[in-house]
Amino acid sequence: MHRVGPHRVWVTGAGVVSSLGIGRKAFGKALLAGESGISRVRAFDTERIGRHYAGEAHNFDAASALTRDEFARLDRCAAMAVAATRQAVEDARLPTAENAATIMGTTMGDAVLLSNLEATWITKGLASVNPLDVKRYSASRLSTEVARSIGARGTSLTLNAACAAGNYALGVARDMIARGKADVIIVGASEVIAPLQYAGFVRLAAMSPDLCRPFDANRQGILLGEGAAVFVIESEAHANARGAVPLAELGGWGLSCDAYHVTRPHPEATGSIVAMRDAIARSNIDPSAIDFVNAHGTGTKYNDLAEAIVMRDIFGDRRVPVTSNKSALGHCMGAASLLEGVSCLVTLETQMIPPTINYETADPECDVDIVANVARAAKVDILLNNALAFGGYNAVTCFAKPGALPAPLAMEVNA
Amino acid sequence: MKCVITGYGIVSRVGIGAREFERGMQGAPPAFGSARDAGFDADALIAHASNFDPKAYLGDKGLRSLDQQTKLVLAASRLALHDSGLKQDATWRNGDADTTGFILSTAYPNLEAIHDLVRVFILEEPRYINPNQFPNTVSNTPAGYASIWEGYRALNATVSTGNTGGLDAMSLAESFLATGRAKAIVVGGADSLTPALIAAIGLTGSQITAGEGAALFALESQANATARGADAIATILGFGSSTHFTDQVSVVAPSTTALKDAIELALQDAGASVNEIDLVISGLGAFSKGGTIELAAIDAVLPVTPVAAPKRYLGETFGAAASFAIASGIAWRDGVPAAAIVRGSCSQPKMLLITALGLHGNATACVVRLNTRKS
Repeated sequence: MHRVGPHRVWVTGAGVVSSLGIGRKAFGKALLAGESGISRVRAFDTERIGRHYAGEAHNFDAASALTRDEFARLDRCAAMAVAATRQAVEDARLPTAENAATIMGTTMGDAVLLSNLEATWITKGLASVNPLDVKRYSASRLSTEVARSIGARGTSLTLNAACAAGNYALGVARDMIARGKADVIIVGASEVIAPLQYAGFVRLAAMSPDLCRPFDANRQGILLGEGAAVFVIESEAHANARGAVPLAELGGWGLSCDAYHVTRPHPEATGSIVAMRDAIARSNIDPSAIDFVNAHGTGTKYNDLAEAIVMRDIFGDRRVPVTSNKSALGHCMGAASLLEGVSCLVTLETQMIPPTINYETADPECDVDIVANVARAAKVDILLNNALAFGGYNAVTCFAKPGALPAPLAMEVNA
Repeated sequence: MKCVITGYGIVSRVGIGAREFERGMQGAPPAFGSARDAGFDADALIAHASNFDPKAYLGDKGLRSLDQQTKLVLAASRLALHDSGLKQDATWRNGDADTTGFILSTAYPNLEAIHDLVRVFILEEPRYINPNQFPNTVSNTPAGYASIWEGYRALNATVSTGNTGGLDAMSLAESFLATGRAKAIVVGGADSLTPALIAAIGLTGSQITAGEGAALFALESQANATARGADAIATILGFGSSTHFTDQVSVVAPSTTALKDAIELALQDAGASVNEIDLVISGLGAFSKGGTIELAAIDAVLPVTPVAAPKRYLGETFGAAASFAIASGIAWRDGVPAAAIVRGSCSQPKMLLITALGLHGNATACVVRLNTRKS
């Protein structure tokens, strides 16, 4: 199995479940059209919570997307992941996934199930809790159920990295292939909206009453969203051997930890700057090669200011276009950065940058080149996908048109 | 890359700190305690770390909003940093914050907070949810607090793969060290006893003796350890992991095939033969079905090698279990007590195979070589 790297890493397929559509084509079309996936919450009653909007994937029908056994076994988070996995494997025309590893990111996994078990305990007594439901609760099932759905026999890993989980999963998977530790990996992220989470963000005074307005002077915070995104990634040699067509190349990725505050980014964005510089350096390029940054863009003042500082620090006076998919999708937490990763694929394919919708009033403290309200045509060969998260996590991934990146750097610096 | 362990921090029922843990693991296993005596509303035996007073290791400021698991993590993290010499007297000495990372394995990271806050949500009002407690519902918060308390800035990650997590976290640390993302990483597992966990075990009738604790290791490259004059207690030689399902119906589905494959891959990655392994440190003792499956996988590859079961001392510590298995191997370097032995006998083991069987088709194994200690 272990072949000495570094190997180029291709993305050869992607699957999506989101409030903006099912499948990467539908998702990309809606994003570029500036559509919004935000609607009034249907999954639970929000009256007592005081906020009412989110990006729910109303069009996801688990019963039709899963087998009967899977439908009986899986809760919504894993169900969305499995559905997106099937799409990705089909999109990549991967004939078998037997040798694949599976790596999934999430913030909470199927914690809705846990909340529901607790609610039954509280309202009906412990004896009313179904033991089978108890057995279904386990964070590790996200990656193992994805493996099960496609018969993957390799390493199975679930990474909890809050709102940077998608980038973490993709980065870890990318390094495994680049180092020759795996040939093909199914990598994804999935997240659902739980009432407790929804209320918790309201209590943190982080939830907007209506719209998500990243980088806008009149921003009022985040809206939550849900969804799943899954990629098939392969070594160049593995993809070429089976005649796969690459959608993108994955460059190096960067990560760091602020070690500052459990919910807020560092006010000087020190960790986020380190992560972005690391992603650029590990892609064997310099900042001048970056054509576009897909921002974390939550629509909170703390986040927007931190990202504006990062853009100034990394790119100086050069105004690199920036957009936030969260304006349209809401904040899909652990799944966010991989849904945004699919948006990055859309940009590389179409040479169009999806807009940051709801943008009305420039914030003088966020002097960045926002792609506002309407998609923008642009030459984008290499781009970065930025993510920040609770716990002070920072993770930045790099996507490029196949052939746009120089040869990958040697990976094993500590042999 | 061959990584080395240069120190470790333990919070467990058999001892707090590396030396106390080693003494505890060399004696007889302490009797499990009553859940009710520990304040839980259940008639069950548990392996409670009742000897743990977080204030003794963390002071008494800033603890109010932290859950039990986070306190276990913070204490073990501090102990690991000092045992390895990366910090002395709470100050970085032979390492630094920018080049040191932190990785935690946890199977049930948010049970306590969700248990508490769902009650507030339902029985009171959502507006009474404590915003300082809400972050504890997020799975990577204990690891995030470790960075805030100690300053780990190179990286921070959380792995949730259940019982295999301690080894999966260490494998992830190897990747980060090999690719130069950190010079040292404090890595291991932690899980805590909570009312929801104990209730869940009772409901499912799985007869697990649930335990709690944290086992964290300072892991670094041999070159980094040598450069700073650190004692390489153990060397991590290789990993293997696999996934396998025999049906499409079972939710809990531990797999002999997955563990057998993982063991073979770990031996291959380590360049070690079956005959070189002195001792298998297993996850046996967690629950009877899992024990049968795990032993079958071990038998298939290492039919005559002695097998030990540290869970007889520690109970089932879930995401921390495989980390405790490695720590137990270190504790048993001068001999394995008979009470820990499932089969065979073993004195002064040098080469260990750690096995971890996941509940959901996953399995991981790891080969560890114990080194002669300088002191």
